[in-house]
Amino acid sequence: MLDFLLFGALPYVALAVMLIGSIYRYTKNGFQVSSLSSQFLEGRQLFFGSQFFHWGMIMLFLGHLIGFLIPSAVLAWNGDPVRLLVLEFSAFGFALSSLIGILLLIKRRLTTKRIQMVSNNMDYVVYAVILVQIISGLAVAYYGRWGSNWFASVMTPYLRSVFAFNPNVDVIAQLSTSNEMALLMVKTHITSAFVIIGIIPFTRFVHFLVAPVDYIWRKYQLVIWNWNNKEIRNSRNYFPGKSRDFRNN
Amino acid sequence: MKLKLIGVSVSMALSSLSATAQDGAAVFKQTCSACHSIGKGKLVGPDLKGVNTKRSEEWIINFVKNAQAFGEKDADAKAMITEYGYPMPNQNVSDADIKAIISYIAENSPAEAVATEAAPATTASAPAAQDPALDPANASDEDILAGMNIFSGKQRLENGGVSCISCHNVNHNDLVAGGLLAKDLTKVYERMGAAGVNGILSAPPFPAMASSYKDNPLTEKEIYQLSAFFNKAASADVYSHQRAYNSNLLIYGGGGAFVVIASIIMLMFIERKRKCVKEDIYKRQIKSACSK
Repeated sequence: MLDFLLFGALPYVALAVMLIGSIYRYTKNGFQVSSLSSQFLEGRQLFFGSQFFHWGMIMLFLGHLIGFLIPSAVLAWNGDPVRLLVLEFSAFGFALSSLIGILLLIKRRLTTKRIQMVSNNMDYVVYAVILVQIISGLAVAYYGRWGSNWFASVMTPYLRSVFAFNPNVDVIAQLSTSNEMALLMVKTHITSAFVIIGIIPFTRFVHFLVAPVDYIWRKYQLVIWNWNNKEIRNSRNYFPGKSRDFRNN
Repeated sequence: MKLKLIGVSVSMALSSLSATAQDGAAVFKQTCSACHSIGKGKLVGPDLKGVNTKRSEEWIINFVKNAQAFGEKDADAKAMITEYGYPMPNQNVSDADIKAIISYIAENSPAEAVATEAAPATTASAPAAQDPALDPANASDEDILAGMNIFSGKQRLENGGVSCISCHNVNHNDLVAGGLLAKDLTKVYERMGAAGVNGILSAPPFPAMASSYKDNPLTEKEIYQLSAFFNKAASADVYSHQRAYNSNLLIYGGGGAFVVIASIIMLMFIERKRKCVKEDIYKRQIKSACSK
């Protein structure tokens, strides 16, 4: 029964709340759709925490996404044991990076007075959920190892069944009949993943939805710098369109 | 209108009921036959011949739906689970289907259901003894090697299924540590025999495994080669080394990877930390002013 609630019903509740809530928040307070930056208040600890955390998270997110979208490619890559180890080790490394990053960020928020002034309760909820998510993910990798492989063959069909509105709860409920620790950790990982999706509109998580992805392919910004600002103070030296070298004009 | 709708739904429910009832044979083949036979000896699970007279319908339904939970309440079920070493995986079949299966078993159990106890014993070895060329114990070295490559994923499965090593471990000198999600298969051949391995691989009874191989089943040849490998691995286990790194493999590897990742992040972005964003512009400004 609990399994059905968590893996058959929670996904839809989470997705519906995320969609409706995000649209509502965006239309109601569009300017608040961001994760209020506090770099201005504390920059040094933020740098280390944020770099480790975000690089780890981005890579893990992309890894899960690839496993979901092109599972056959993951299986083909993992065919050779050496490649399997390379993938698993680097994924575990990114997870450790995220874990260390989030711990640094939690320490920063708990010990810096300025940051506490701008924290709200949901920020602490975010930290709790993220911490559960990362630790359970590491535990899945450790106790139920070669997760990259069985994600492609078991989790991908489950997630597809969720999107096809016919969730195959049995697959998760009886994922393992012999390894209870791994089973518990997988269930925790999936549940907290859906919780994260569900609380997106109410937390700083909204910044996923407005991540400046287009920065990757946007054009360079042209910064025009007047090299000698003493000379151009005199308008006689400025003849637009002729030459950039003011001294020769 | 409402009455008409109810009538339609009731008739639909009835017709679906009768459809499943007729399909006892089909459901048995799909759900049970991987591990159970009727009158042909025990495979992975017991022979179901005459089970309809031995157990009540209610008992069978409870056992099929959740053997582990039922085993905690019922002494007979518990004895059964301890005898076979593990509980039967929960089956997602309706009561009507189970009843259809029971009536199918009843129809197909010969009248002398309570036969001599020697009869099943002789038939038990029958599937393997049928054709000595197909007995994995007589497999050639090539087949054993092919089985190992299929297990580790080096040789991809013909229908594109996932390799065994993702979830299972076999202790073998030539293999990396296998998955921990599902049972260790080093001794699987001793536990289940050729018939059991064949049954599970051709129609997996575990939901996660069934879903993995639903659209890309193993071929008969692959199953034979895997059985040959399992047979060899079980007998060679005594000679293989214990892997000292086994459980901490990921910790060491992941820790190493983290050091590399952290170094890359630092090398790429430490400038942002050390310098002000506008530092280059600022320096250029000073330089051009000084060069005057």
